[in-house]
Amino acid sequence: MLRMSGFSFAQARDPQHAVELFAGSDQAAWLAGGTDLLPAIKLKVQQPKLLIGLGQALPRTFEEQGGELVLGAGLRLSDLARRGPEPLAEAAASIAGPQIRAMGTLGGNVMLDTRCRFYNQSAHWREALGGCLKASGDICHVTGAPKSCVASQCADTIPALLVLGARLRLLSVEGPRELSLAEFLRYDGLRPHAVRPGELLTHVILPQRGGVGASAKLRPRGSIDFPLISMSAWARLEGPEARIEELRVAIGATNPQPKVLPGIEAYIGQPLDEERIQAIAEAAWMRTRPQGSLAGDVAWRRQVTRVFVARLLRRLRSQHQEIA
Amino acid sequence: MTTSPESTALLVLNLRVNGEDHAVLAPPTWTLLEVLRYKLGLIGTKQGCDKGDCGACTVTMDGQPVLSCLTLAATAQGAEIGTIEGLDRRLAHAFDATGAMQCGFCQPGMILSAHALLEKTASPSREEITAALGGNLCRCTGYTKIVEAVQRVARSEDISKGLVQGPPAEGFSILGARARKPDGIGKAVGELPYTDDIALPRMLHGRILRSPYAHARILSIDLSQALALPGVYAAVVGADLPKAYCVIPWTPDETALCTDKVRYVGDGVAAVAAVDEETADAALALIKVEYEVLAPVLDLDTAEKAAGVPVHERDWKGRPRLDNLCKEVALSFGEVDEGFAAAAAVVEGEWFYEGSSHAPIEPHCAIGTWDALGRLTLYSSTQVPHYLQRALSEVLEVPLDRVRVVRPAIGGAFGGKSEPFDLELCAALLSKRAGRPVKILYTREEVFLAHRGRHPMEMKLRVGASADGKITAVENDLRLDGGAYHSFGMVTTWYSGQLLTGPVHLPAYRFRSRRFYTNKPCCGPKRGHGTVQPRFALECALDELSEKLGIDPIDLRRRNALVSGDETINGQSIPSLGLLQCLERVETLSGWKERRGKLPFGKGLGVACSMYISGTAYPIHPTELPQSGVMLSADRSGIVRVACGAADIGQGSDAMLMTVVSEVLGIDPDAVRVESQDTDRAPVDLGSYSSRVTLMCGIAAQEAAMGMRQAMISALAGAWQVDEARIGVGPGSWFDLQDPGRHVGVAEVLRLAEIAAGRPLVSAGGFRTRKLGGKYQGGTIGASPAYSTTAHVAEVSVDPETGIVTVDKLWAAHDCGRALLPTLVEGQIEGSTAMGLGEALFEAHTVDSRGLLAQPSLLEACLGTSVETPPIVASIVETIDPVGPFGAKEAGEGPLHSTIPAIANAIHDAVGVRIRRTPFSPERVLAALKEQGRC
Repeated sequence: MLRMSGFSFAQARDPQHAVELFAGSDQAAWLAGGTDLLPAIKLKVQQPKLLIGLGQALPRTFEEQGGELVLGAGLRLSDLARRGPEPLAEAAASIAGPQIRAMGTLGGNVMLDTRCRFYNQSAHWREALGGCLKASGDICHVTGAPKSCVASQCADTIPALLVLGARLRLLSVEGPRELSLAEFLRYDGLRPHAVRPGELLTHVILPQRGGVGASAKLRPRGSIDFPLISMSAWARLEGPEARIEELRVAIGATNPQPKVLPGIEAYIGQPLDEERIQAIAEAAWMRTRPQGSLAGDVAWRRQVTRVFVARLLRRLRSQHQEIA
Repeated sequence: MTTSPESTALLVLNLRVNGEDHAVLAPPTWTLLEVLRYKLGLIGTKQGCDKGDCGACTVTMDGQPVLSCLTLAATAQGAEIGTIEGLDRRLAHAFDATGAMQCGFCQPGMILSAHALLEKTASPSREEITAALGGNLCRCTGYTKIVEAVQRVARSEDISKGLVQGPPAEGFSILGARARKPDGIGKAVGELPYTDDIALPRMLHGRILRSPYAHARILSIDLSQALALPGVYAAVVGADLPKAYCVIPWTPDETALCTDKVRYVGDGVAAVAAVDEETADAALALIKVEYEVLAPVLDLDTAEKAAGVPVHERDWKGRPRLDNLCKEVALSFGEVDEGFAAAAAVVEGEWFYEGSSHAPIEPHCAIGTWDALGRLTLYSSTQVPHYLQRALSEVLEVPLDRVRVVRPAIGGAFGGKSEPFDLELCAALLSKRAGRPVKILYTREEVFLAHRGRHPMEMKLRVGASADGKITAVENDLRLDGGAYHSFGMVTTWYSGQLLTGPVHLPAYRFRSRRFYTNKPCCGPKRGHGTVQPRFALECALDELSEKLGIDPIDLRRRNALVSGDETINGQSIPSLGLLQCLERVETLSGWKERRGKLPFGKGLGVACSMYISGTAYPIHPTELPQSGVMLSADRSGIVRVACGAADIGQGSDAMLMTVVSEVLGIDPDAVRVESQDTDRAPVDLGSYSSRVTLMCGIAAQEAAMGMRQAMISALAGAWQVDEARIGVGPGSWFDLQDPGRHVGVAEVLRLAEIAAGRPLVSAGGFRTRKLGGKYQGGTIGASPAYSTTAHVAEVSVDPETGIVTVDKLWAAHDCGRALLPTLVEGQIEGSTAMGLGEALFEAHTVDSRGLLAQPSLLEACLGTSVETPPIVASIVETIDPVGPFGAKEAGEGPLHSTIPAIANAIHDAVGVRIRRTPFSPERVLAALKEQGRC
C-alpha cells in the first residue's frame, strides 16, 4: 500500500488559529476533506511537512446576507448537491462518488490542484518519465515545451461558481480579503490560484439573482471520474420566447484556467432559440482548445464541448419554459 | 523520509469506533484505514487502490460513508466511526443469500455505503441504489445481485440464515437449490482473513525496487546504503535467486528479480525487508542501480522487425535468440481454399483487441515465514497454490515437502493470480535472510505492472459462407503482443487458434498465430484465456456476413450450430452443447424478433455466441497423477471434512465441493467442512484456471463421496440387518426404503460406519486425465472433457453527436450443463458479462512511447461502476453433460466472450458503423460515424 510519511499534524480551532499555525510553519498544507491532498501525498507529488486540519474550523454557513448567499468553505459537496443553487448543485452532484462528496468541501474543490496524466502518478512512474514541469522536471510532456504547465483545472464547482459570479473571501494573518473567482484563477498549471502563502479560503459569496442554471460533465464513467470537460450555464430569460436578459457559460477541465465564454453579451435581448443556441455552441467550439493533459482525444473533447453547450442551453430554455 | 523528529512523534488518537472508545498510538501520517486495520484489528475494512479510487475502505463517520484511506486518522477523532464489524447483519445476510458477493473483498465497503443509503432513504429506487454505490467498485458480480440484495433489505424481506435457501432440482436433495456459500457470511461481516489481514509476530514488510526503463542492462546494484538504514533487515537482488522459472515448466524465462536486464518499466530489480513499509520505501530510494539503456520494443511491428536488441537475447535453453518471436503455431483443417472458392459471400478484415488487466480489488499479497525446523510457509493470494509450491521449491532450492503454501481468502483473481509472482519469491527469500516473517503487499500500480492480463491481439480474419448462410471456410492470421515474459504464452498462442472451432461449425479452418515479446508488462491468462479476442473478430464477421446475405444473425448462427455429440474440425469432441437453446433463450428474452430492425436510429440490438472449455485434458505440468484429488474424512461430531487444494477465488469452489458431498451423502451442508487453504492438509488440485474446477474437483468429490456413501450403506444395512438396496439416503437422515418410519441421522450412520470399519471413516477421489483431442501436434491443447456455450444479446444506445455508447441491457444465456448452485452460476454469468462490458467500452492496458503504463491506477483503469453497468439478465441453460459431475460444466469464463461482439454488433444495428477495435471508445465511434457520413 502507498504509505505517507514526513509530516506532522496540527488541528486548527478556527480560521484565525489556522492561519496562525500556517504562518508559524514551514511547508504547511491545509487539510479539509483530504480527498485531493492525501492522494497527492501518497503519490509524493506533494510533500508538506505540516498538515493543518481544518475539520470543524472551517465555516459551514449557508446564509443570505444582503442579497447575497454566503457559503462557508467547509460545506460538504454532498450538502451543496442537496441544497446549493443551480447550477452549483448539479455540478457538485457530479463530483466523484458518494464518499468523496461526503468528505470533500466547497473550499477544497475551489482550491483543487490542477491535474495531468503526467503529474498525478507515483514517484516510480514519474521517475521513469523523468519528471515534468509541475514535479521535479523541466519540460511539459503535454506540449513538449519547457515553458508553461498546462495541467487542467478539474474542479467541477468552478464553472458553476463562475457563471454565478462568485467572490471568494480569504483570510491570512494580515486579515481578510475578497476577490472575484474569475480574478483568482490563473492560466498556470503550477500556480492555478492567485492565493498568497498562508491564505485560507473561508467563504464563497454568490450574488442572488434567480434565473435558471444547469451543469454538464463529460467523464468516462457514470461515477468516480474527474471531468474531461466540465461546464455550467446560468441565465435569466424572459417571456415565452426565452429572451436573454443575462447568460453565462463557463467551461472547465480543458486547461489550467476555466473561463466564462466571452462574446455572449451580443445575444442579450434576443430569444434563446435553436439558431442562437447553435451559434453559441459554435463559439464555444471556436474558443475551446482542450489540452492533452487529461485522457481522451482532444479533438473529440472539443467536439463534445460544442454538443454539450447546445444541450445545456436547451435545458436552460426548457427550465425557463417550465417555470413560466 | 521519516527524518525530522517532529514528524516521527507518535500521536495518541482518541477514536470512537462502533460505539467503543479507543486510545491508539499512531504516526501522524497514518490514515484511518491503517489505524482500523493494523492497530485495532478491524480487518473488515479493506484496502484496494491506495488512494480513493475503489471504495473498499468505506466506513461511516457520523453516518456518512467516507473513504478511510483518504481520512487522516487524526481528523477522525471526535466522530462516530462505523465499520462492518459494528453493523447489524441484515445487509450482510442479504448480500450472502442473494449471491451479491463472490470474492467478498469489496462487500464490507459496499454494505457500509448501502447502509448509509438505507438510513436516509427507506425505499430507494434502482437509480438511487446504483448512485449510492457508485463509489464502490465490485469486480465480481456485475452489480445486478447487489442491487437486488439492497432491495430485499429495503423491503424488510425475511432472509433465511440457512445455507439452503430454496427447493433443489427434481430428484436431488440439495443440487440446484438456491444456497449460500460456506464462506459467504464470514466474508460479508469482515471476519474471514485475506492475506493482508494476517499479521504474524515480528513480521517485517518488504518492498520491491522497480525499473524506470523499459529495456536496459543492469550494470551494477549497490545495496550498501539501503542495508545501513536503521530498520532495514534484509535486501536482495536477482543474483540471490538466479534460477529461472515459468508457470509452464519448459519455458523458464523469468527470475524472481532481474539478473541481467530489465524488460519493462516496473520489472523488479531489488527487494528489501524493513520494520515497516515506510522504512522499506526509504530504503529503496537508497539503492543505487546503474543501467545501460537499450531501445525498447513497444509494438508488434517493431517486435516482428527485430531490428534492435531482442527483448530476450537467449531462449529458455540458453541458445542465442535473434528475434522477438516467442511462439508460432500454424494449423490447417479441411479444404480452406476450396471453401472460400465456394463461398457466396466473404467478409475479410483486420480486428484489434486492446489488452486489459484483471484488476481484482484485492491487491496481491504474500507473507513468507520459516519455522525452526527450516520449513517455509508462504501465505499468498494465489489461484494456484500447487504451482506456487513447486516454483518456491525449485527457485529457492528447498525440497517440495518443506514448502507449504497457505491460501487465505482471495479478493478476486480472474487469472491475474495464476502463476508465481516476484512478491512471493521475494517474501520467501527476505524472510529467510531476516529470520522473521516478511509480508509484501503490492501497491495498486504494482498489480497493474505484474499484469498477466489479456493480450493485445491483431487478427486478420476471413470468413466465407454460402448463400444459405452456411460457413464454408475461416482463415485467421494473429499476432499477440506478449509483453516481457512467457507466462502462459504458448498456451495463449495455441488457444487463440484452437478454441475457435465451436460453437458454430467451421468446416474448413486455417490459422497462424504468433506471440511476440515486447518491453511491456507481461500478458497472460485473463478470464476466457486466449479466445476472447479472436471470438470478438469472428462474431463480428458473422454479423457482417448475415448482413451481406440478408439472413437474421441469430438464424445464421443456428444454421451453423454444433450440437451435443458433434466433433469440431480440429478434433475436439463436444459431449454436450446447448447453443440452440441459448440462442432461443436470448432471442425470446430480448424481444429480438419483434424489436430488431425496428428501433430508431441510435438504438440497436446485437447478438453473439461463444464456447469455452471446462479444463483441459492436458495439464500445464504433464503428469499421470490425477489433476484433482479430494479426501473425505468423517469425525464423531457428525461432520465430514472435504480436503481439496482447489483455490476458491470467489467463484464458490468451496460451495461446489460442499454441495456435491452433501448431495451424495444426504448430509446437511452445514455439517460439511471444506478445507482447501493449505497444501500441507489438502490433496493437490492443480488450481483455479481454465475453468477446470467444477468439472474436475466435482468429479473427484463425487467419487470420494460415493466411496464414503458405500461404506455407510454397508454399515447401516449391517446394523439393521437388511439388504443394502433397502437403504435410502438423505436429505438429512437415512432410512429404510421399505419402512420409511425407520430412519436415522447421518451422524449416527457415520458412527456405525466407523464402528464397522474399526477406524476413522475416510475416502478419496480423483480426476484422472484422459487423453483427448486430435492426433496431430497441438491436438490435445484446448481439448476439454466438456464445453460450455453462451449467447448474448446486447441493447445499446449510441449518441451520434458524441459517440458515447450506453449499454441499456444485456441478456446472457449460458449452458453450464447443470447448475449445481444456480445463484452462483448466475453470478458468474453476470460478472463475466459485466467484465466483458468493461473491456468493450472502457478498459485498456497500454503503454506510451517510453513504455510507461497509461492506466496505473483504478481511476485510470476505468472499471465499470454500478451506475453505467446495466441490468444483466442471466439465464441458465442445462444440457446435463455426460462427463461433468451430475452433468455440470463450466460457468466462470465462457459468459464473458460473446458480450463484446454482441455490443459491437448492437452498435452497428444502432448507427450503422462497424467498430473493429476495442475499446469502443466514443472517440472511435464518432470517428467511424464521421467517416461514413452518419453525423
